[in-house]
Amino acid sequence: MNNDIISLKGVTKEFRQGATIIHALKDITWNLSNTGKMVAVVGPSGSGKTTFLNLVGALDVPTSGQVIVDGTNIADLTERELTKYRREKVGFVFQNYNLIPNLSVLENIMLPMEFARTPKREALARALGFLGDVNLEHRQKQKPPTLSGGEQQRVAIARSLANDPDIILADEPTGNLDSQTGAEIIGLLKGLAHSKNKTVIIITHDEGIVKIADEHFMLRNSKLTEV
Amino acid sequence: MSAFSRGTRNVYRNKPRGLVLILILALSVGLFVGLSQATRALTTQTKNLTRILENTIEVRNAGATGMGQGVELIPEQDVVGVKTVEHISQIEKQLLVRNVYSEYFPTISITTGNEPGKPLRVATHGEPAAVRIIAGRDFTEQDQGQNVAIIGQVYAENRDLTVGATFLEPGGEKAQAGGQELEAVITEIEVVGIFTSNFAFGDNQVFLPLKTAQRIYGLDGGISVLWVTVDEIGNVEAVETALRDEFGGTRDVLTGQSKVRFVSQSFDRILVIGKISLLLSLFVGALVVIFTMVLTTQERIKEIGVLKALGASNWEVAFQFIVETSTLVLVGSVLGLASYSTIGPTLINSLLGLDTQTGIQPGIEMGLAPVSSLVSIEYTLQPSVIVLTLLATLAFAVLGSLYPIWRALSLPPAEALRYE
Repeated sequence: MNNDIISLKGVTKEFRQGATIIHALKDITWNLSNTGKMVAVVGPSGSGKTTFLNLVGALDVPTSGQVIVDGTNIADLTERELTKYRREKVGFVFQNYNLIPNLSVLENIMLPMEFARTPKREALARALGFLGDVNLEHRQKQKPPTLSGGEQQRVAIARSLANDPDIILADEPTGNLDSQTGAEIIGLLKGLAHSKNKTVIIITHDEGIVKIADEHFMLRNSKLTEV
Repeated sequence: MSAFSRGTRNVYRNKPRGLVLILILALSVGLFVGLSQATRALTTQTKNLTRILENTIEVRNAGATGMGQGVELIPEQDVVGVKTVEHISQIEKQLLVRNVYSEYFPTISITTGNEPGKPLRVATHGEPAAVRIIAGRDFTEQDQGQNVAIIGQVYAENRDLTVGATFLEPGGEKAQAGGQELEAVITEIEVVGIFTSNFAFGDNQVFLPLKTAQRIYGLDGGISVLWVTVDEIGNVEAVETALRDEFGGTRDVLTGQSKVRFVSQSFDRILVIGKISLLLSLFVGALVVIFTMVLTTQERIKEIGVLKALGASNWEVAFQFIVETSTLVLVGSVLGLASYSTIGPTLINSLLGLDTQTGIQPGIEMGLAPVSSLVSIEYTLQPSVIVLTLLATLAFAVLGSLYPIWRALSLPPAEALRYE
């Protein structure tokens, strides 16, 4: 029986830049089993780390190959099914936080639940719970631009948990933070992976994170290998 | 927080820009409504004037100028012959007396004996005139033979007369009618109304009930002009021929064709300008909406990527943006309509050369006033105009939003997220 949570089979992703075709990923095959752990994917700049994350998160589709998550090939999904996948299966944490600036902290966390048609009362209770998980209850009414970078990233982490996804995808989550705050964020993500049984995949080039992660892989020369 | 409330809140996200866009939209809508009201008024007025002029035939003694000068008067019994002509719906009799005043300007004033209940027609050199009473009242049947008058506003201003005041008729050095100097009985006359026409010479005139004028000037039964109204435009030519036959060349029978041409050409030019301005204001409004949407979606493509990454469907994102534009456009439209209601009439009057307070040509200068001052504009917006304007701008906002939104949504979320 196949227990893979995420499985990439011969995945290639090409981008066209004028007349040139750039191979961001080339014939990648990779499996990840077991939930409740934090996985770090490292690699040099331009190695295709973000492309890899975008394919797993269904933010993009492969040029060829299969991206299979929980037995479903993302490449075969319709637009509507892709939306459902992004809403229910994955949560995103971005390097630049990507919070909606004119919504309050609480409203930002409730946003994915609105897309999932969660009743408002339930969404509010859950959002407050997630705010508690990231120790930001006291900031619930504030707008993101009034928060520090670390606080904004904690809000983004709380938002990624909103619809209780199995997979949290974090693209350079500490890239804009100082080392101490970055370490706190990584600690938070790892804690969530263990306590809430989530699969957290972190894209990074920070060696410190690689050491903390439960598993780590290297993306180089279009090969994703465990290190 | 629904997509609806996010959309409405986003209008104020960038307050200075939102305010500028709303103001530009308000200006476009206000201009559009104002210009459409003015254009509509001009169109109606052109039709009315054309119909009136085309239906009217003026009968004078051959060679008379129509200003109290020239050859002898028409005897009143001529009207009996005119009444036998078919297709005539109304006959008006006028007596024109030319008064000369050296102490006022204009120095010539025409006193018109007019039948109460019939239109007040000022004597003109061919200028189009539309008499409107601006103070007091029109004549009634009871005024026939009474010592009452309706005077032009220039005449009133020169002599400091108001409704209820009295003046002496005639008050000048000499009075002439039908080519002869008249021996008048100076009579005290009460002002019951003040009118404006569209030009200073017209506004320096006096209307008396016909019988009163004939009595004062000793011209019982005397008429200077017969105004004949034909029942249908198609019958004007037949009536004109019949009248020429009736009078056998002793009377000038003048149709309104030349006047119609004069009025129509002037109004046509104004209408063309009005319609071009209308299209321009519509075009500016359209550009603002499209520009707004392109700008809004372009600078928020990354946010669209975020919303899609969080699980928003294309429809939810599009709806939020459509609500945002619609709110912007609606606020702008309401502001534009409100602005029109407050400053629109003053602005239109100013554009058309009318008095900004009363909508009436000031009438203190000698010479021809703008044709536009003939227009009586309906300034109040009908509820249907308000509703249609709001619906049209809303529809325009939605349609104008579709392409930029569709373009933004057609990007894969990963590409949208890379957008800076």
